[in-house]
Amino acid sequence: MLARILLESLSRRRRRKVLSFAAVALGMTVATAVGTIALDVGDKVSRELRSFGANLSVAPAADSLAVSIGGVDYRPAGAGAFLAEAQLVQLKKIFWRNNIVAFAPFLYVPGEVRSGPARRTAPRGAMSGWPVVLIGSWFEKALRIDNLQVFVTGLKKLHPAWKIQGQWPADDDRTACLVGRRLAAQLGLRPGDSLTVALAAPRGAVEFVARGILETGGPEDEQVLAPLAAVQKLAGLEGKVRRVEVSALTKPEDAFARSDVTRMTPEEFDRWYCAPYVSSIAYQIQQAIPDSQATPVYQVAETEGRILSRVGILMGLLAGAALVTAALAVASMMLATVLERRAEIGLFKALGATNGQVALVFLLEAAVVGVLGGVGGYWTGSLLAWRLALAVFGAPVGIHWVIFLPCLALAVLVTLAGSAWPLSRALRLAPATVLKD
Amino acid sequence: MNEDPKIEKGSEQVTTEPSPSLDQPVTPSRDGFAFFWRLWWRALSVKRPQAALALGSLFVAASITSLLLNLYGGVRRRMAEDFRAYGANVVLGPTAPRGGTEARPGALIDEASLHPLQALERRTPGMVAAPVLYGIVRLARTQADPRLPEFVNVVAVGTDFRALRRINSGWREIPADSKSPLASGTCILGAHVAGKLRLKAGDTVTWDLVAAPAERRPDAAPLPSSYRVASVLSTGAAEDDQVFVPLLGLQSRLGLDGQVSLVELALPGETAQVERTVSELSRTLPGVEVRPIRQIIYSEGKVLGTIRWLVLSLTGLILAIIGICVMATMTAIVLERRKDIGVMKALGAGDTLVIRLILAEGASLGFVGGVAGFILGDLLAQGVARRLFGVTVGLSGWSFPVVCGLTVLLAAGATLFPVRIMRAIQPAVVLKGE
Repeated sequence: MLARILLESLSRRRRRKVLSFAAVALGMTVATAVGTIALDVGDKVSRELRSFGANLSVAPAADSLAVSIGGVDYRPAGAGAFLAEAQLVQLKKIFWRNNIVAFAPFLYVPGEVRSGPARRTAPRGAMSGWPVVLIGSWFEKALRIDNLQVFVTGLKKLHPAWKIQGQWPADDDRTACLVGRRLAAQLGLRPGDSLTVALAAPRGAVEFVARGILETGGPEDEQVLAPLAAVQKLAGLEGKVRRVEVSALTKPEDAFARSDVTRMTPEEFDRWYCAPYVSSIAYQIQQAIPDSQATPVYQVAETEGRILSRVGILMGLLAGAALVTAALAVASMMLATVLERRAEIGLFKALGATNGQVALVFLLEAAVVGVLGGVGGYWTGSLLAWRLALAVFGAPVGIHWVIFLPCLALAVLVTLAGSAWPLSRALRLAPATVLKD
Repeated sequence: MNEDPKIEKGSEQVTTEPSPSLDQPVTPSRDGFAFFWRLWWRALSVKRPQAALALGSLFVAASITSLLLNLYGGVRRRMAEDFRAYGANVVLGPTAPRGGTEARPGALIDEASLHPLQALERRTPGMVAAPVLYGIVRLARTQADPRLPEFVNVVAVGTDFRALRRINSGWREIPADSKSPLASGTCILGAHVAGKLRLKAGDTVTWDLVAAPAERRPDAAPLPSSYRVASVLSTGAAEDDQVFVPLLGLQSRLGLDGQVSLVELALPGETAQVERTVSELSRTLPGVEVRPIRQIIYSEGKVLGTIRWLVLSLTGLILAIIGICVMATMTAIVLERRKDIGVMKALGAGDTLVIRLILAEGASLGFVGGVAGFILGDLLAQGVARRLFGVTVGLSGWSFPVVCGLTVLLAAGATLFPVRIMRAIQPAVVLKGE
C-alpha cells in the first residue's frame, strides 16, 4: 500500500517534482564544485610553488666544506666526497616516490673560458682566462626506474622558470652546453657559437658549442652548464656527483612533524613516516642513498607550507559557505513544496491516515527526491568544477569519488530536515480548515 | 493625513471625483504615499514562513559576501608577506663601467654609487637592502685538537647581517638573536662549518689567510685575527658552508674599502609594485645592474591571481544559487498572496502599484538582511582573520554600501521574477477561489 501511494505520488505533479529535483541538484552542484576545487587547489598551488626550485638538498655525509657562492661550488674538482650517480634512481623508489616531482645532480669543475667565437673582435688580452665554473647536470634525462617505468627529470623539470634562448642540449651530447646570460653578454656569444673552456691540467682545453643562452636571475647566469656525462669524463670523475637538488610535494609541517624523531614511539614514527612532511621525505632519501645527508631548504619548505595552509583555510571557509548555501536552497524548496500540498495532507488525514503515516509518505518522497537530486548535483558539480579549474588553473581537476557519498548523504539529510518542519506545521492543521481553502 | 474613513480600505484617490472605473490605472497622489507604506508595513508584519526564509537567504548571502570581502584584503596582504620569506626578490650587481670593457667576474660595486638606494629605502617602508661582499678565508681553531682539520677554506660573507636576516626570515639561528647587529670581532658560522670545526656560539675562531673573489691582491694584509662566534646559522642551502662577518671588517681585510659584490633587496608589495620599483631603481642607479628574481616575482603574482579568481568565481556561484533560492521563495510568496493581490486589484489598484508594493517588501527584506548579514560577516571576518591568519582586518568604508546594495539588488531582482504572475492575476478568478 505504502509503495503504491509513493509511486503514484511520485508520478504526479511532474512540474513540481522537477522543480524540487532541480533545487536539490543546484544546491549539491555548488557544494560538490566547491568541495572538488578545495581538494585540488592545494595540489595546484603546490605545483606552482615548486617552480621556485628545490626544497631538499642532498650532499655526501662526509663532505668537506663547499666553497660556494649562491650554490655554485668553487672547490677543485676532485676535492671532497661524492655521491654515486647510479644511486639516484633510488629516489623514485622511496615510500613517497610519487611526491618527488623532479631532481637533478650537480658536479662542479672550475676552469677558464679561453676564447669566444671566432668572429668577435675582442679587445686585446681581455679574453684570456675568464674564470667560470663548469656545471655538469641532467637537462632532460629519461631515467629508467624498472622494466615498466621511465621518469623524466633534470634541470628543465626542476626549474621550469628558467628561460632558454636557443634550445636545451641533449644529455648525451659531449660538446653541447648552455651559457649563462651575463657570461654570454660579456663574451658576445649567441646560440650556436663555440667557446673553449680550459680546465686544470692535465685535461687541457675543451671546445664546447653553446646550444642556448640561459637566464635564471641567479649565479648560474655567469657559469657554463654542460651535460653531466661530459663533465664527469672531463674531470675524470665518472659516475660521481657532488650534490643533488630535489623538488618534492610536501605537507605543511605541524607540531607533530617537528617533534623529535628519536623519541617517537613506533606508532608515532609510522604516522610521521607515512605523512609527506619535508623532514620525513629527507629521512627517506637519506635511507635510500648511502652515505648521504638530505636537508630541507628551510626557507623554501617553510614558506611553501605557510602559503599552502593559508590557501587551505580559505578553501575551507568557501566550502563551509557552499554547504550552508546548499542547505538553504534545498530547505526553501522543501518549504514551498510542503506548504503547497497542505490540501493533500488534509485529505490524507480526513481519510483516516495517522500523522505518522502521512509523515512517512512525505518524508520518503523527500528522500527519493534527495537521492536523485544528490546524484544529479554531484555530476553537474564535478563538471562545473572541471570547467572552473580549467579557466582558473589552466589544468583540469579529476573527479573525486570520495565526495560522492558525503554529497548524497548531505542531500538526503537536508531534504528530510527541510521537509520536517513545514510538515509538522501542516500536520497540526485540522483537515477541515485545509480542505476548505 | 487626509484619510476618509469611508474609503480607508479602498482606492488611494483622495480627490473629490467619483470612484474611477475598474480598468483605469490608479496613480498614487502625494497623500496616498502614507497609505502605501501602511500597506507595506502591514504586509511585512504578518508572520510568514516564506518571508522568513527569504530573509534568511538574503541574510546568508550578505554574510558570505561581507565575510569574504572583509577577509580577502587582509589574507592577500598576509600571503604577499609570506612570499617575502623566500628571500631577496631583486639583486643589484656590478655592471660595465661607462665606455670601458665589460665587467669582469669578481667585479665590484662602488658603495658611493648606491646613495640613491638609501633615499629610496627611506621612502619605501618595508624595503630592506643588504650589501654583500664575498671573499675566501682560511679558518683555524684556536684550541689544538689533532682529530679536527687544521684549517678549512670557506667563503666569507661581509654584510649587514641584521638586514640580511630580515630579508631571509626563514633562516634558523642558534641562539636565535636577529635583533642586534654583528659587532666587529664577531662572526656567524654556517651549520656545516660549525659542525666541521666542532664550534658553537661563544667559541673563538682564527682567520689565517684571506683572498678576494677571483683576484689575489699582493698587498692585502694577511694578518691573523681572532673572531668570536656569535651564533650558528642553519639554512639548508649554500649559507651553511659560509661565514658571516661585518662588512667593514672584511672590506678592510681585503683592501676593498667602499666596495661590495652584490646588494640583496627585498621589495615589498605585489608584482606590479615590485616592477615599478625595479624600473625606478634602473633609472636612479645607472652604474648598477638591477636583476629581478623572476621566479619569486612572477610566481607570486600567479598564485595570488589564481586565489583571487577562485574566491571571486566561487562567491559568485554561491550568490547565484542564493539568488535563485530567493527567486523561488518570492514566487511562493506571491502565489500564496494571490487573494490579497486579487482584492487590491478588485478595489482599483493597477498592476504597477501592486508590483511596486511587492517590490518595496522585497527590497526592505533585502535591506534588513543586508545590514544584519553585514554585521555578522564582519564579526566572523575579524575573528577568522585574527585566529587563523594572524592579521587584523580593518573595517573598510566601502564594504558596507557594497554588501547592502548587492543584497537589496538581489532581493529586488528576485522579486521582479514573478512579475508575470502578478500581472496575470485576475481578481474575479482568484476571489472565486480557484
